[in-house]
Amino acid sequence: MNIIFRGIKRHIKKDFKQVPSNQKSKPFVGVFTSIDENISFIKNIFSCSDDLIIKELNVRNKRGILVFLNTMTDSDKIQNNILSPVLEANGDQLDSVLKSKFLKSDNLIKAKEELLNGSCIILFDRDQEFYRLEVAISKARAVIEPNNEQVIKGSHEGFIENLLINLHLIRKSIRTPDLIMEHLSVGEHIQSKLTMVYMKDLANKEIIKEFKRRIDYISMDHIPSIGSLQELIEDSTWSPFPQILSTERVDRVIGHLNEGRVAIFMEGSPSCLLIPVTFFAFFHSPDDYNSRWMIGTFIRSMRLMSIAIAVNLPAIYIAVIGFHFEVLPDDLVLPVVSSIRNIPFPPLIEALVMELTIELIREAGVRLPARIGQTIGIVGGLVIGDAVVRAGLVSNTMIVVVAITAVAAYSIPSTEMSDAVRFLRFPLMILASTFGFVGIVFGFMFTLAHLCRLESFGTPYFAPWAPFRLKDLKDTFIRLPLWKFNTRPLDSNPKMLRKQSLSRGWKTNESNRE
Amino acid sequence: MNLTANKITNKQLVFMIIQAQIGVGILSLPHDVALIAKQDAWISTIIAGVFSQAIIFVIWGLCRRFPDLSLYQILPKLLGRVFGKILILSYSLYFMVTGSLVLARYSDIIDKWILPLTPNWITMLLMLLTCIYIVSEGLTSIARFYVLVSPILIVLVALISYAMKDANLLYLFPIGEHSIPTILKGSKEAAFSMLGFELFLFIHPYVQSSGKEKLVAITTANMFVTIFYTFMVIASLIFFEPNVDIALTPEPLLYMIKAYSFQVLERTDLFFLSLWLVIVATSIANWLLLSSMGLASLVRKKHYARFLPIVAGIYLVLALIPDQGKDFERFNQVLGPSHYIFIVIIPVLLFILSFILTKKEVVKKV
Repeated sequence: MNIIFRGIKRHIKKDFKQVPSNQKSKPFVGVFTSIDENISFIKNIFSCSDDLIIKELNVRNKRGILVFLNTMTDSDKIQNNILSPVLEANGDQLDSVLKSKFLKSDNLIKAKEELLNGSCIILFDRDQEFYRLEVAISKARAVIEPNNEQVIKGSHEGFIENLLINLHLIRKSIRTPDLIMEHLSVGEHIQSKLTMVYMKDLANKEIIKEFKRRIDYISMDHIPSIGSLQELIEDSTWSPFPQILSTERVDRVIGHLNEGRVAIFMEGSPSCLLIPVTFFAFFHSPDDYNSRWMIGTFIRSMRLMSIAIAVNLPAIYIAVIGFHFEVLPDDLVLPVVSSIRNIPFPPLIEALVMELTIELIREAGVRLPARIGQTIGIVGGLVIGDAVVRAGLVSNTMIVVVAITAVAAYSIPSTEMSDAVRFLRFPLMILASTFGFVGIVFGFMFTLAHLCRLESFGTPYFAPWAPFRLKDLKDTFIRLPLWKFNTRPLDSNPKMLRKQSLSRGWKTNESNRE
Repeated sequence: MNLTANKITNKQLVFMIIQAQIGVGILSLPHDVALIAKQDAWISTIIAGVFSQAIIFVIWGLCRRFPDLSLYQILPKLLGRVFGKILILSYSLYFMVTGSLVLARYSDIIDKWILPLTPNWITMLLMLLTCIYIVSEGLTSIARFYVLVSPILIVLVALISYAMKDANLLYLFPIGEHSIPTILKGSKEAAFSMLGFELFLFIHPYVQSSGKEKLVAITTANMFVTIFYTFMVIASLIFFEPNVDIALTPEPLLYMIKAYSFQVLERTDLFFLSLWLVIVATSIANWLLLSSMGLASLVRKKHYARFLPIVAGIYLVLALIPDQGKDFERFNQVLGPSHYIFIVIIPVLLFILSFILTKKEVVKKV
């Protein structure tokens, strides 16, 4: 009996055994000798789609065909790069033209892929090979500053939806052979192009390996966006905190590459994923490094204070009003009491209504065209600022609290982290309304314990606080002068920890000389 | 448990031991000790620290002979399977009782000071759930959490120091008025609050450092805790008159800072208590960890996380039994001897036994 049971178990296991999907061997279909066979094969693959163009091309009495998808290719390019050189070539020149301009291949499956990528294919009768040349339409928008991550000083370049241009922007700034770009593809049915970029001498091999391992397991037929990719390779999806940093800024990616992190680009997506990251990376902005270090430190610590405010302030307010009124100093009691005296709702309802209203206004504003968006802003502002208080539904102090919270939450540079922080305050508000300060402390402990548990590709998420590393604190919520950054942060496990020696050595040298 | 993945560093060990030792006792320790030793209570506290240091040496010696085994693995090895298992079970029970007493005292104080209307079992449940979450992932994340919350101790010291502006140093005199037995009796009270270093017996295989470094680590932790407690005791001795006042204030530290208000904050004690909650959580998490590790090694399960809910359930039931301060006393009377047995006598006996039987773990020198 037992044996049968075990046998069944093993069988079931086998059925669900996970096989890294990309390890299957690539299919191969050789080019047929007869050109008609080739035509019917290609037509069959594309099911005679109307944008598949097959043109007869007779060069020096040799029958050939030109195949391309007119939705993917640029007709000018075809004319200039293919038709005129091939047709104008006479005699032996043809071979050399073909050799110099085109790439050769003999796999028709490859031909299919290339056609889909915007290549043009030339097949000749009785040839076991075909020639291909990329003539894709490149309709890329201009490289502009991303709307969601603007800076005052520094580079205003941002990534766009074109993979090649994004990679160009990176390579342009890091001109060293140590910069490695690896192409990968995901998606079973519709393949998406991915490129992994890292510095060979810095990035940790384990992280690269781990990333590839996770990518191999993806067996979705189509990866719609880089957000879905992020969700598939993230360490823990049961967390409000993003464990992969996505950014549209070129300078940010370059900075992270130089700290030994790995960047992932996807065709058609203007954002780039960075792994591994820590909690604090979400609070950095290139502005911190471009301004004076004292100012940078001040602004950065303000930002980190803003999380504390955004998460805790409404909860603390609720706890104080509901449980610990005695915490308020005498002079403050009167104004607070007079503002909440006639409010019919408990503070939790008050706070929830207001916070949710703000979220709704934000959500409404995001998707609306700018002109209607203004209306929403005005109506929302009036409702929040004035009408609710006059109607006696919400107290004045609550408005102050909600407003400060909203401003604090939106001052976090990363949208994802801002969302996480705004989300976190709701459970805390509920805890505060049931247990007062005790509830807040427990909520806080829960959050901290959660942050201590999280890891991003094998590195602790809350580093350098947990595990604590004093040396790396120089670039978390403070930013010490750049010449202090002699080592790279440990959290990305870089191969080379050393970053610089005395960058301001000129100062000591000069005084020695005198 | 995966031995390679679940390591902690020596520094993390220091903080783990500190967090394990400092617990619910901070609030009542000055009261308890000063009741007996009066103005010499601080001497008692120091003696208690020295005493625990002595035990730490023994514990360390025992661990040194078995560098890769926790106490739960040493027991069956030294005493045979049956007797070893009985002891594992009793250790695990002992930790449950100690932990649930801490839990009961915590909820008692919360009941008295912050949430008088909330039923005790709710605050206990809240605490247990949080502790389960802290503990369940493994030693590395526990250690990270403990290090992360350690700055709270400094805040507590700062708050108490603020109250020192109204202190009267003369209350400390005459020094040494009480007889040595009285002082020793006082240090017995203090020693109960210092428990927690036995955690080392169970986690030492996971610490990445040499034997000597571990000793330095636990000694540092114990010294810190002794100084911390002594400071708290002295602070309450010089704030309240030791002969009369302290007997009236069961939680002297809270009464002390209750009197102060800052520009934006009144009732500082509520703030203090909120921070104290974190300290209590870490020590309850420790007991939870130890007792569920015991149960896990009893049934030879690799990971203890599965036992956490069961153990937490037992904690809740045990903690709900004592209802009033009087019951705590009785509880303590029962528990007093068992502290000696489990923390002092058994490790010492095991230590001696390991020499007699010349049993020692063969250390693979690579």
